Amino acid sequence: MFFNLQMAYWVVYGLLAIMGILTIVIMGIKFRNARNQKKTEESLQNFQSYLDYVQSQLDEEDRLRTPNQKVGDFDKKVLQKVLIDWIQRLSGVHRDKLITLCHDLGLIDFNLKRIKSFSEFKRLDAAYYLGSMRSSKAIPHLFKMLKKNKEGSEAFIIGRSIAQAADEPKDVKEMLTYLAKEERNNYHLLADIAGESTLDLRVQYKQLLTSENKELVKLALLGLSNQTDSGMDSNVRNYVYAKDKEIRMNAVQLLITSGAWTSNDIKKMLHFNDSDVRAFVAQWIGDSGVVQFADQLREGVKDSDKIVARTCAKSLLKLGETGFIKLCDVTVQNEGQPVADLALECIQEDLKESSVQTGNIEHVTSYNQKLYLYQKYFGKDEGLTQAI
Amino acid sequence: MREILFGYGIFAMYYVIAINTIYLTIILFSFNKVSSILKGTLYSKYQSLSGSKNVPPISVLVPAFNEELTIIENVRSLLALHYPKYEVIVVNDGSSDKTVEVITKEFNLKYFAPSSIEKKVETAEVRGIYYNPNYPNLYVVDKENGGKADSLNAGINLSNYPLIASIDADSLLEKDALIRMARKYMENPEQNVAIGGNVRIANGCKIENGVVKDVNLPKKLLPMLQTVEYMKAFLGGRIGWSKVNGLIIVSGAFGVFRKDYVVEVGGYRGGYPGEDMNIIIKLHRHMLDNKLPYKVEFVPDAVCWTQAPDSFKILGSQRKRWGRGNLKNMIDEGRHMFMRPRYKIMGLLTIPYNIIFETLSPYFRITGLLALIGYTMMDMTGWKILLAFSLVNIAYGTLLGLGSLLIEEIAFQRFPKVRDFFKMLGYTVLMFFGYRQLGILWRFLGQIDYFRKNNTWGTMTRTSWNAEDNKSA
Repeated sequence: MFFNLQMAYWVVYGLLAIMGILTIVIMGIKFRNARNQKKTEESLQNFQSYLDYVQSQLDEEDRLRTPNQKVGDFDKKVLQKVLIDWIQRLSGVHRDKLITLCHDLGLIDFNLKRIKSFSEFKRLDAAYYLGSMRSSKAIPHLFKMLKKNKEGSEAFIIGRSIAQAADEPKDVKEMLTYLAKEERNNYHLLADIAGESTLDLRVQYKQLLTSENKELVKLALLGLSNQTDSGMDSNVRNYVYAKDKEIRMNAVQLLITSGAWTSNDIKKMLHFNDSDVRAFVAQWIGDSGVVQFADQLREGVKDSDKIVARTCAKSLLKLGETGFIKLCDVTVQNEGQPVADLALECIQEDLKESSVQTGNIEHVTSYNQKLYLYQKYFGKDEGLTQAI
Repeated sequence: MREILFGYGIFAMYYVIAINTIYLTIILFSFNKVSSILKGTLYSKYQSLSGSKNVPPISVLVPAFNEELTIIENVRSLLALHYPKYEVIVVNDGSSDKTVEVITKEFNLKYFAPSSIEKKVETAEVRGIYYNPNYPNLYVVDKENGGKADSLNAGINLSNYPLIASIDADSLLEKDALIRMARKYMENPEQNVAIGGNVRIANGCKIENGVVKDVNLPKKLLPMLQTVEYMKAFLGGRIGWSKVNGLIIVSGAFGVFRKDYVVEVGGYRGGYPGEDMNIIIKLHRHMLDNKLPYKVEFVPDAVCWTQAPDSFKILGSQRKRWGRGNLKNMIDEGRHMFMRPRYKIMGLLTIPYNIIFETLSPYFRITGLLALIGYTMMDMTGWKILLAFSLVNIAYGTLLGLGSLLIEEIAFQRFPKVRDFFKMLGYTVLMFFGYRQLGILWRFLGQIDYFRKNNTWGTMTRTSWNAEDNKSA
């Protein structure tokens, strides 16, 4: 087998040389980071009294002054980091004041220059800050960057900046349409990004409802789910029967939470052929405490799907005394059948849970009332008493 | 005889060079991906995302076997994660210590019959569930002993959410680790079937209330060697393998999975160690067999801290288990995918690399070294060849370690001190003087155990997070 000793030594020398270079690079990065850290600390120290002034004046009506001393490029980077951190934590007038200050400090122009840089990192850094500063001037640059970044996290970071900076809802819609075109089912992330915008996007979401792209339809259903708008149910109703399960569930969720459904609609949905829809509606009734559907839930406990049946039983228990009595009735009236076992188990679980819940007097009264009703229906249960 | 020994020794040398060259290629892929990771890390708004209702809920599964010393601190740390909606399911795997008693007492949990569990995958008998509505996202499942895989399957059966995260009970998650994983998942939920997190060694770090407060290198020899070893494997290796969608393992210590696909492949395989590798291979195979687009991702900025074994006995048991698990996985799954183009990068690169350069490496390395030593003994003038072999091996291996340290420095900077860098570099070289050889020997012994059907867990002891090495550096 071929082996050349001299060549082996040359390989070792070569490897040692590369190792030396890597070590120098690592040390270089370490020293650069340490230097930046020191410069940052110095800059923060220089501007400490100014930053204290900004914090103390946030509640005042007057426009915030810019610092008296000269603000160099490095100082701008340090200051924008601090200000953006505050902007992200605040809202309303305070946030607007800080955004105006960013403008007055020249940070927007500073980043508008950086967004044209040859360095990809500088461009992304500028895009991030321009979005956080709600600079609509940056929108054309941001779109240009977005369309260059077809894949990866960068596209979503730029998309978020567009949502923050846009002052026209159509820009947000264009960005969402662009990010959704691959149909990767990432509409939750897109909804989160769109949520960064302070604009009213209802019209755009309604337009997206008719899109052929399923991703956009799901996004629109999710985006509209926090709105109360009586005009939307006609567009959404058909989606309750969509083949795509997520569209179906999102449509049901939207219709039920927006109050677009009548009580008859809700009753019908408890017999819908999709068990997930039935479980969702039953869960919603329990969470919202709508006692008027107690009879429907009682019937639901007999559902052929175990999850739906259990959800109905649990929801009944959330309806207070009325629900508790109805579930006890189910147990007694169906003695010997699996539905009675399920109902009794849920009742006992509820009692155990109530017994450990540390709470106010209302909790204690409710628990005592339930225990009284339980003993009235089933007599004293030593096992249960011991468990609780 | 001399010529045969010489020829075989040189063959083994080329074998080692081939391993290192492939690893170097993978590290280059890692470098290629690291800038994108860095951008995501710096500019993704985790703070707002961790309060968003659009983030998918996750069931965190924590298999626990004799974890009475660490379980409270770990559960407390898990209950304090920055994540909008999640549940923690601790699965007690028939512990012989007081794991269940300790946790039920601490959180005042009540017993419930396990009737509400939907059996999506088979498991050993579940004795009961413990719950307290004052801790609405904590469940404890108590079951008969069935192993770690079986515990994960029991956790899947109880879980309410579409994503599951597997966490080792002796590990601590950073508060934003889960949201970082979720961010990656949310970018492509259709295709991201499994996502691995970065496992770092906690020995030497200052830990308070289940949180790593101060990152330090370990003081002891073995944890320090494992620190550089993990860094190379996770930063140098896994980032690169995930770049080409050829990641063969998502560490059992911290991974997030789509529950529907885990159930479709039959859940975790019990009976043998290496269930973390097994589930990933099964997912690759399932997705490729069904021609479904998918990705197995790795998120190095989602960090899980773990206790590294600090004695040869415990480390040896762990490495023998890994060796046994690896061999079992290659026999069960790997051989079906080996060099088959339909399995793409897995069939043509990952599995062949694993079989030839991981599973079989103890045989080639041990015999190759013995051949060269034998050749040198027969003719002392051959010592130069042995020296050259050793130098190439050490230099190439150190270069790969340095590559990982560079990735650490570019993207994460967890160890900013210059002294720490030289300490890590020193231990990267030191690995080649006994530690690597021991690792190969333990892997070989693990394979012997497999053939002898010795399937015991071996020595395993837990140390409290407040033990001396974790107090301060």
